[in-house]
Amino acid sequence: MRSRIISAAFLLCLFSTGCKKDVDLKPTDSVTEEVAFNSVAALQKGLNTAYATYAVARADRSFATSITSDETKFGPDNGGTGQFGYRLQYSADATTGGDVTTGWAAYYAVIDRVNRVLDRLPEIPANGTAEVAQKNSINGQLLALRGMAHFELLEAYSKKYDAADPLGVMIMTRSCLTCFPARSSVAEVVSRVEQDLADAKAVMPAVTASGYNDLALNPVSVTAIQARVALYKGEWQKAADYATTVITSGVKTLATGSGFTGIWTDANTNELLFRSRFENSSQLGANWTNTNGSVIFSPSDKLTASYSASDIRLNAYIGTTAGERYVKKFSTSSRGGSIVDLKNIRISEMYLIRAEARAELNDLAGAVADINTLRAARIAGYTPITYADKATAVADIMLERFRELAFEGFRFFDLKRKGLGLQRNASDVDSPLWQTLAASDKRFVYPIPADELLANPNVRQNEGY
Amino acid sequence: MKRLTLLVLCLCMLFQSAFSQSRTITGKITDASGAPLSGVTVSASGTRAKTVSKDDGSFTLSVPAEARTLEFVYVGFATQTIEIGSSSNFNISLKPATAELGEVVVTGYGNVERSKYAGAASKVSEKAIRNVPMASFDQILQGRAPGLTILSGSGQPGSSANVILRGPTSITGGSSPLYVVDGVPVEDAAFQGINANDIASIDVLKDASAAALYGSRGAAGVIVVTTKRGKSGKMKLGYSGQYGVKFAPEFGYDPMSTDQLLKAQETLGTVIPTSTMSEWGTFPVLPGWQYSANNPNKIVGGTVVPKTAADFTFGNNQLDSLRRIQTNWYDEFFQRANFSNNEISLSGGEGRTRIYTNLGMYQEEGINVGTDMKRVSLRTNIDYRDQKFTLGMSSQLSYTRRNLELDPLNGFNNFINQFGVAQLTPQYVTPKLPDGRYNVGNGFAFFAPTTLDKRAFDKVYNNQIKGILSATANYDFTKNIYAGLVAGLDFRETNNITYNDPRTFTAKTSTNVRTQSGSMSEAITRFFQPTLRAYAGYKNTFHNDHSLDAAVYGEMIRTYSKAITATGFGVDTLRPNTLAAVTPGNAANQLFQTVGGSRSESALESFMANVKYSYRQKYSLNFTYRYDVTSILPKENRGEDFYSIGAVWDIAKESFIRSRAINALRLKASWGQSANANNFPFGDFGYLTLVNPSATLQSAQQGIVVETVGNPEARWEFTNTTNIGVEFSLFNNRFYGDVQVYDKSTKNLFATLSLSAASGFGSQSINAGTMYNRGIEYNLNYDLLKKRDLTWTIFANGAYNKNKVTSLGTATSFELGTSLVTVGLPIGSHYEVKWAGVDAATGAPLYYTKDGKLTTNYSTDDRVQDYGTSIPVITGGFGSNLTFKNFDFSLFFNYAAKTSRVNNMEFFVQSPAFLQQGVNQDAGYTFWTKPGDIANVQSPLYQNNFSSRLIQRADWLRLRNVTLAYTLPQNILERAKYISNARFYISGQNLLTWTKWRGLDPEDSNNISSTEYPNPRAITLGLELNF
Repeated sequence: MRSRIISAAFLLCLFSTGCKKDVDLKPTDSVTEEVAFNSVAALQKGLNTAYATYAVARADRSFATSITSDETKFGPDNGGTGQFGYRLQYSADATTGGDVTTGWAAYYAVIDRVNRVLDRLPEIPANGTAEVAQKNSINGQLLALRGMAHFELLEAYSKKYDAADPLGVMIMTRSCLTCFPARSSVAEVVSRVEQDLADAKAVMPAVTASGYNDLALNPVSVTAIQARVALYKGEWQKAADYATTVITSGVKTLATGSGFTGIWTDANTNELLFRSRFENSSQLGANWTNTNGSVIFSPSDKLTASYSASDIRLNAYIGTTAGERYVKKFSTSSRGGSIVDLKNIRISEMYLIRAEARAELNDLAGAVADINTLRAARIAGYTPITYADKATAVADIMLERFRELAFEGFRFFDLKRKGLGLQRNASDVDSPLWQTLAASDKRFVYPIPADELLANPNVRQNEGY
Repeated sequence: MKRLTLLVLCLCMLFQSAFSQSRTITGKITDASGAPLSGVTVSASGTRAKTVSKDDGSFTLSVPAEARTLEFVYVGFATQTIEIGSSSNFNISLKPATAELGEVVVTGYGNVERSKYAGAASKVSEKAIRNVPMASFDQILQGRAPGLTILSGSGQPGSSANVILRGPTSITGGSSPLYVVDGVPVEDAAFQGINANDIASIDVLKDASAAALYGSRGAAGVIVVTTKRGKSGKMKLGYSGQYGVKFAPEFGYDPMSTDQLLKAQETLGTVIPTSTMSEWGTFPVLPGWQYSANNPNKIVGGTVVPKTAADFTFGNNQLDSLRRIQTNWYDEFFQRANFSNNEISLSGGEGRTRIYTNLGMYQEEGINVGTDMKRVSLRTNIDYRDQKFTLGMSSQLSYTRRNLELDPLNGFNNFINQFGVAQLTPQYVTPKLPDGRYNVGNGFAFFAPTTLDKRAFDKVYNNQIKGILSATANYDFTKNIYAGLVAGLDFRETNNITYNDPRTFTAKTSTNVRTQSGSMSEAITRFFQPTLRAYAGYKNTFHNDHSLDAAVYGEMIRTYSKAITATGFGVDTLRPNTLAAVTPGNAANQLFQTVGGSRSESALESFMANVKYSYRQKYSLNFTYRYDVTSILPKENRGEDFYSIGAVWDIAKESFIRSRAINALRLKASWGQSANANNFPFGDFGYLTLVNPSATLQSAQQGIVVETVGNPEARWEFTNTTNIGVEFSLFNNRFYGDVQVYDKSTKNLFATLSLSAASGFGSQSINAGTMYNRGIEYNLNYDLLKKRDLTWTIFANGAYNKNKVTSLGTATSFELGTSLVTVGLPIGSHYEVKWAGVDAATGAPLYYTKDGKLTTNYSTDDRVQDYGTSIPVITGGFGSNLTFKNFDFSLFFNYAAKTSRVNNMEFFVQSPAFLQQGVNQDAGYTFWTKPGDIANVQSPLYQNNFSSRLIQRADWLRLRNVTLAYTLPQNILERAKYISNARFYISGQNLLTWTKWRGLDPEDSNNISSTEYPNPRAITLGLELNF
């Protein structure tokens, strides 16, 4: 008896103090990233997460820019949603600035999800040619997403392009939880974006029209992004060249009739170079009109009036229910009301980019050819036009971008890029205070969220906030 | 390991000791009534001589010649010491342990005489706990131990309280103390399965001497529960029965009657624009205005048109019929509830074995109709003791079933909480239609009937099986060396069921096909925590002056938790309330069942040493060292050392104390370190970045999604406690008690670091910041009368605690729920815009800006923090016990002061904006209607905002318990052959409350009152019989 108790006691003491391995437990319900990223298939899952995160950021941008531009007016059922954005009264704090500041964290989340996978990618072995190709493709898609996310941040949170502007955005090329970076200059950010896009294209396998997957970025869609960047910088020739490359690749062509209207109900993927999937989520669709049909923001009178009656876009983009106009472009699919995919890059944008670039290069014939092609696809019985001078041409092309790309997240940045200022129709506002916004106004640059400034002392706020 | 080997070697060397000449002492030990006591430990102080009394109370002890005193120790009785002198035969009568100074402190790692214990500990006696009609014993501790703040979160039967000892020691982690039952740590806030009547005593360990014993888990204090053991002697059968009623709650304000509300609506109508009125019809939102003869207009098709003569008649008729309806919603929802408790116990033991067993059947209805609790509990404690070996087996098994309140604390947005809708629904609405169905509908007028309709069908309940088992074995190898084992198990399996019937109005009107079809959800959670501890010790007295007791411990604790949930839809109403009746899901019906679950595990392994030294009982020293290794911290921070040191100076034993008035006077001081592992907020693997490797994304693809970024540098929150106390007993032991002052400083607070967006995340949990709690506590007792047939004791205890956050790392404040944690202020400090009243000229609400200027502009930027805190600064209890012949009468009050809370209900019931939406109102407020009005609430034309207007003092004083008991005299009992003892009592719980708080119950655990289940008043009749 005695010896047994002694030995038991001592064994226990030994156990308790000697053996730290005993407390080295492993989680069962979740895993660490080291465990999760164990194969090329896992890298693909990481990429999927990055795409899903991008979809959220881009959907948010589409909404935010539509309420701070002349695309929308305050909806009849709106109890205050987005009021500070719409009234151009946003500031850095979450209460008044929430509409325009959420994009900041949303896009950095995209960049972080990309970097988390990129950080792991080199150590994951690829077996066989198929896996090698897949890994390369994943690598390219991640780089392209990172470039695009940095670019879209720059559009929102910095002034119109000026390489010398020190207030670009923070550049993140690896995942880092406790980094508190400063903003890089616009030149540095643009150079990073261009590098990522070029690197992406270098490793991506080529694609063709047959079996084109618009859910994954590829050399063609990355070229489309390059066209956007060139346009943003005013590198007209480059912009035109990239657009030409995309158009002549033939992966997508302009659609007409139900081939066009079907794009907006997810019935087909015509024209779509890059799309974000919302399988069962109303995250995009419920922005302007909520799930029970209340119209929060309606298409503006200005936008509605910009379409001729024979323009297919009028009824494809703008719906009417119980006498109220609503944003139909992102409103429904066969999967249910408000559940609809986000169309990120369409072929029509390439015609518009090339038209603008050509006009700026004084190639008025080339410019008008692209505009005529696009309008012929959209307007029944369209009669081709010609441009008399560059100014008219550019103005007409900007109008066409307004019509074609409404609610897709371009208008506000087009106004900024072109220094046009915001001019809303009197009928679209309930006060003249927010009818116009001068091109020089600070609000063309969204504020950096107050949370960032509190957490990160290295970041400078934009002028005036 | 080296440490241990060395210690054991030392112990072995001390083993050897010389023997000397001895003499034999005999005697008999009895209790006050002359009944023999067996199992009493008799020892010669300063020697190794020790024995245990036999069944007839007799003992024989061989003592060395130098022995001078004998000590008699027996659980439940005061330890007695006598001079041996020249006698060799002693007849000893032991007195029950009453005066608390003589008692023993149970630390969970052995017992220490209070006179030698350097820390601060309060004991709550069995008498204070017994027969209180509450199912969770933590609720009963309220006001019983100074420094222990018990805030009952809910009056629902079986709910646990929020317990804070000496102030909050954590911001995000919580401050729940560690609970130990019969030597085994148990899960906190899960006490519904423990029968409080099985508890013999509760030791509340407050300072570092105790906390360091528990190392990483002791920072928030330790509550040690000791259950009843068998009393030696013939096996005695006991019965205890209690029957009682609990009373329905009362409004914290006067709700408007039908007439008052209709009148208020009419007044409101004269102020608001006519166009905001609802459509003319049979049940408008504001009948008091729509149907009013003073209102010339009506709304038809959205436009204002004049009423016709027929409309006026119709309106008058409608108002007449509404005025006849006076529904008291409290009567519909709440009830006078029944309570009963029946227990049968057996206690006794012959020879070396004693048994206590108690079968309890507890039944309590809630004051909220539909809520209740039933418990069957069985405790069996077996003790064995011989001269060398002691063994204690304790087991508690219980089954509890609770029917819970539907939608507890469910925000005001959906208005389905019963305490909420009962206050907000107008009294001119009938609960039922003539055909017997509930008067369901949308809008404020129908919230109460709709909730009643839901209550008639839906169910939320749980079943719980709880087991606490422990075995302690101790073996004295020699007079000096002992060793032992403690093994224990805390087990709980809770089965939560939520049943939503498709026949409710809520289900029928839902647009979600799953909600429409009804749902049945079952969750099973299992908690399993084994503990194993081994120890070896050495104790001896050298040269009669130096006594030493040193022990080493090894301990391991594992905690396993597991949950399984299953939810099905499309329930068959013929078979409600079972998973068997759900409809299999398919693409056509979309009623896909869901199954989920989780499991986790943590481990703690420890080494510990505890040294107690005393010189002539005059100076005592306690030293504790503990080394804890845990699984829940990153590898490099896993192992941590904890120390404490304490000293006692027994001044009364000094020769310079001549005064006979001083019976005991002790000065105590202790310092030590501990951590708050018990309230660790980061989860079992919070130091890792954890991902879901196959999460379903909104794109329907699978993704790797980060669930928590983790804190790879996670550490404990360390609390250093310094305690200084004085214990005294004066004037023939008639005035006794203690006073303690303490300083608890906590560092490495669990906090949240805001991150740059560049990190991809918003915030990370970190350790940053410091905080202190400083305070004073007292516990005073005075025996006013101490006569044979009449004793009268008054007592009071109280505590003042100052809590202050002294640093938050890089931040100066962060929001926590609806309060703001700020450097320089205590936790729980309210954060609101300051209310300045109503502008009599315009009716606009006035607020103060941050710099104290008046403004009509409400801005959350103007929020300030000078309204105090929701955690009471001052707490305490006081009362009196009076015994006269066979009667005893006790009174117990307790209170909390310097506390304020936000009364959320007043936001709704003192609001013209909600009046306009059809909500019933407080009859005692006025809103502005015309220039010159002095009103407490602004004009309906202005928005209602959260401001300091809603912050109210929540100080309270409660007559917590009053009991009158009568024990049948022995001469009567002798005639009734079979009954040895009979006691009858009547007691009242929460009978009176004094407070300025205008909500349902001032006593709550949060800073903003929602619609919590209030503590009921109760009256209980009881009977205790021993056969």
